[in-house]
Amino acid sequence: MSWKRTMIFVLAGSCLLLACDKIEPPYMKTPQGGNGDTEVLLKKILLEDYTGHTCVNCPAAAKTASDLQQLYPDQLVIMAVHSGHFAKPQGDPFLADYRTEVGEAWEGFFGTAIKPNGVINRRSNNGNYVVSPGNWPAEVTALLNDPAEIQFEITLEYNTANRKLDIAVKGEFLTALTGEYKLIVCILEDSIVSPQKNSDASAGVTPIIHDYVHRHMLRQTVNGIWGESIAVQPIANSMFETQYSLTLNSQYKAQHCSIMAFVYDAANWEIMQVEEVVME
Amino acid sequence: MIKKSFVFVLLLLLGSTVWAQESVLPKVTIKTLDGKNFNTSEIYNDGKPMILSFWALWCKPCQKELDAFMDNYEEWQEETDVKIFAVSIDDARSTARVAPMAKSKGWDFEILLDANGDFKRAMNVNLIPHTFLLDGNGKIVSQHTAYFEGAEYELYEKIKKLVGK
Amino acid sequence: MEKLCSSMSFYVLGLLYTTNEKIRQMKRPSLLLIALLIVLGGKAQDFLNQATVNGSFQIDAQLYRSDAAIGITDSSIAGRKIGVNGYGNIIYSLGNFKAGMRYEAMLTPMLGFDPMQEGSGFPYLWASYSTDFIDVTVGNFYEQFGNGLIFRSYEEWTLGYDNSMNGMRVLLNPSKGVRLKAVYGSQRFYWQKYERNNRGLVRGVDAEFSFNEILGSLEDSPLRIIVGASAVSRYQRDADPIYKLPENVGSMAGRINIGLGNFTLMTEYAHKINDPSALNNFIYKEGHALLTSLSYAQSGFGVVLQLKRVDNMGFKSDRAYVGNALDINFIPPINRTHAYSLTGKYPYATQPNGEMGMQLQIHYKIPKGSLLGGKYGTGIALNLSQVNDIARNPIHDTILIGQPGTMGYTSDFFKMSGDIFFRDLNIEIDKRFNSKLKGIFQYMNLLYDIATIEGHAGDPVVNAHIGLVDLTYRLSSRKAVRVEAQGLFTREDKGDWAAMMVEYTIAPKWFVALSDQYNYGHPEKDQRNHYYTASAGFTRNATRLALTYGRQAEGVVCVGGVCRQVPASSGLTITLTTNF
Repeated sequence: MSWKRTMIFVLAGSCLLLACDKIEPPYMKTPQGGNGDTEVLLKKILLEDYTGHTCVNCPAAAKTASDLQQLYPDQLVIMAVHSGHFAKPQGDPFLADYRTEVGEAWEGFFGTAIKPNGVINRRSNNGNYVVSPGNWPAEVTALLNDPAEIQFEITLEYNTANRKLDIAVKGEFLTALTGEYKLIVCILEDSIVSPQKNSDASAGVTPIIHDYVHRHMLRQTVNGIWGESIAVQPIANSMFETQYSLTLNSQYKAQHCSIMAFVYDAANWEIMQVEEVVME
Repeated sequence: MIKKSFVFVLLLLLGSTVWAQESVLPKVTIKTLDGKNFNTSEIYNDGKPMILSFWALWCKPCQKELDAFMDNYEEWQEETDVKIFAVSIDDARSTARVAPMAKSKGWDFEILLDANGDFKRAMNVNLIPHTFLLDGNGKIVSQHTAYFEGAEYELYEKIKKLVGK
Repeated sequence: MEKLCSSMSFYVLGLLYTTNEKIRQMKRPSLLLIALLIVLGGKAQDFLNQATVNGSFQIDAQLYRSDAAIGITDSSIAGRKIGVNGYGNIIYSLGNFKAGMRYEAMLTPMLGFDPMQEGSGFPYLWASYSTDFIDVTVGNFYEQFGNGLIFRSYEEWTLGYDNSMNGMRVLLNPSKGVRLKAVYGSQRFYWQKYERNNRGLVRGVDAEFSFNEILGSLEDSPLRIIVGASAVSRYQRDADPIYKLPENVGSMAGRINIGLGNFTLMTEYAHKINDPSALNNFIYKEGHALLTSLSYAQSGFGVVLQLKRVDNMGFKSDRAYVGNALDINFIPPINRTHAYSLTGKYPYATQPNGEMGMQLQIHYKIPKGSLLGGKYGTGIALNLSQVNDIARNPIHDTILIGQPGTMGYTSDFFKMSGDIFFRDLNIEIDKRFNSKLKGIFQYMNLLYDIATIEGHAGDPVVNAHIGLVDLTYRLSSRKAVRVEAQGLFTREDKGDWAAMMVEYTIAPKWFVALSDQYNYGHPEKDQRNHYYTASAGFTRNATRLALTYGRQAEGVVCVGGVCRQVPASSGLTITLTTNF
């Protein structure tokens, strides 16, 4: 009977299709680390974690980010942007408001209303900037070997008595580039202890972690939402330098603050280089 | 680019087509209440008119419409030999519940299951209830979405007109 | 109002204009040539005379206004005063050949839809050739294997859900009673085109055998047996620096449908190999699902018992994605879908990571002329469903349940956890009093775990009683008044609700309705809001225009197993559908 033959055919066909990959323990890969030994200077990567204290899945995402940073400590910079609905102050104990004007503006621009979500080096895929946390490891890893086109360093001077902070950013375009380049300088604060909703037992207690340690939190930028222009059509080895003076907001714990700066291509917002310096 | 050319060719085809109002039923494989495959081109009533009604368990107006059809079905059949096909668009969530519900209601229609909406899409049904009146050849004579109390009388007038009564 | 209407027609014009523009821009001679060849080829006459075209359009538009009482301010609207979701679907057919396309525009999408929906274009294009023996489709298509436990591709416009395949499909009917299917392709992800390695590929086969048809002699036997089997696998590259991920994840399912007289037994079991994903928090456990239903139906009486067990069965074509898209499979929730505003306030959605559920539904029609049946008979429907979590045990003392990068947990197939996600006990009576008056009466007792179902950890379990009366009175053969009164009583979440609706219809064309939902028991006094609406609609043949003005309460809209959270809104909603 023909249907018997068909059945055999179908079974054979499905076996071919099902090239199943059964993974045996250990399930973890041996850490590779970044390519620290190459001669070429590599790009650093900025992972922006758009988050909020009533977002139950955000602690797991933050954990993904910090696991990645442990893998690539020299190349990955993290910024947690508290923005949108899940960052609003709500009923007790979620009274704090960590939203910032700049964070709200970026959220609107990059489309990160659904949380947790990230933006990696502000690279877009057909106009979409959002990368879901599950994709962070692969997306970050894919960028690890990109050579840097810009190199810069941040130097700080901080007076603990009057909280006066001087920031200097000094750098160089390693190759000639077309277009316009802008610099944004941000103040991040680490280790802010404040309640956080959570649904993932492997990221902490559920449903509320009362003493959650919020990391890499964006507090403010020092030069606006979209920063300022540092070069147009720079030639190779051209230099740039900018300086800022401000009084550190008394709300911030200076010992937990860091200054993070990045240069981006004004035409498509893609980040070219990132640096972060911790205040001591 | 491929997409653009596809759209282009399709539009060209459309441009050269007589826009047909009298569609014949599309060929789509759906299921009977027994779980057997059923090709919709087999919807047939010996050359007599047919009603094709899309409904679902979650749609109250649909059930009210089918109840109203059932109240009049005996009379309609005597007068016009019309046959009713009720296509449930319930998905796998509820397909098992269609037969017990329909039978307990005493719906004496030909009930079909379109669990993945294939027939619904082929017939361009957006909202339910959506009811088609077909002539003996399966051509769409008229169609209507939504059900309000009393709409069955107008439908019956149309059926009578179709059989010349 | 005036403004909105003009902008609406602008959208329709825009739709036509963009397509025309596309033709004008198309100057590639090769394409023109192909098209000309098709038209001028020997079949030109057929194209003119035998081809048919049909299609449909739908435009849903909302004009928002600020409404401080329900928390909508100008800043929360953020300039997006209009949301429009529109589509046009066209199918061309000529004999065995068919082609179709769907244009969609969500500029900007209505509130509650994913911002990634914003865009316009042709997400659905296909051509197919089919005979009684074979059916080949290229381009986009929808398909389902069995109950969908390992494969279902479908769309649900009202939810903004579409996981259509983009690839090829072959259906074969090699002999009577045998049906084979094969699918291959990528899945739609909003407007993101498939590119190498940006998400997975899906391939699958399915076979179904109807024994009564194969063995022609059994065609009229009271015993009916249909058996089916399917296999689906996903390919996605492993680019993860931390975990060793399977690049090919396979799944298999088998099903059987046995009918004997008025009884039907339907069961399907599915199994999936290790598939660490963002959805299951990167555990390496295998997944499985079982769905069984036993039913009995005769005139005036029907009963169904359904059982289900799901364990780690989320299956997406991008293992990193957790949102409402890219699902390869569909695990149906087994509980009643409610049709009224308050009974549907807390809808259940399947928990693909694990659940065990049952449903019992009994329909009985008390016959005409009996004491309780009255002159017209009385319908009674009883429905009970409950879903619990599955019981999970740690694989080792030092490993947490569900810890990423491990087997996750072990779970006894027959063991259920004491945690109830959802319970719904409802009874509905359907009664006609005389030739003019009929009514539906329903009582429902509900238990709903917001924290799990909506993912709002820390929220309470809602325990609610809901009652409703729906009366229809026929004023004349074409005119009727319908009144709905509902009450929802609970101490949790937003507290008590009452709802009232009056609708006047003139068959078959007109309706007007007024409704109000009043959240009178909200624990916070300033949030005890009325959500009133006034609506009117007109239907002519398959064209329907409906307008609703007023407030929409925050809620969850679910169709099938997929749900969408809709924020509160205020303003005017327009729905226009037509079909040709």
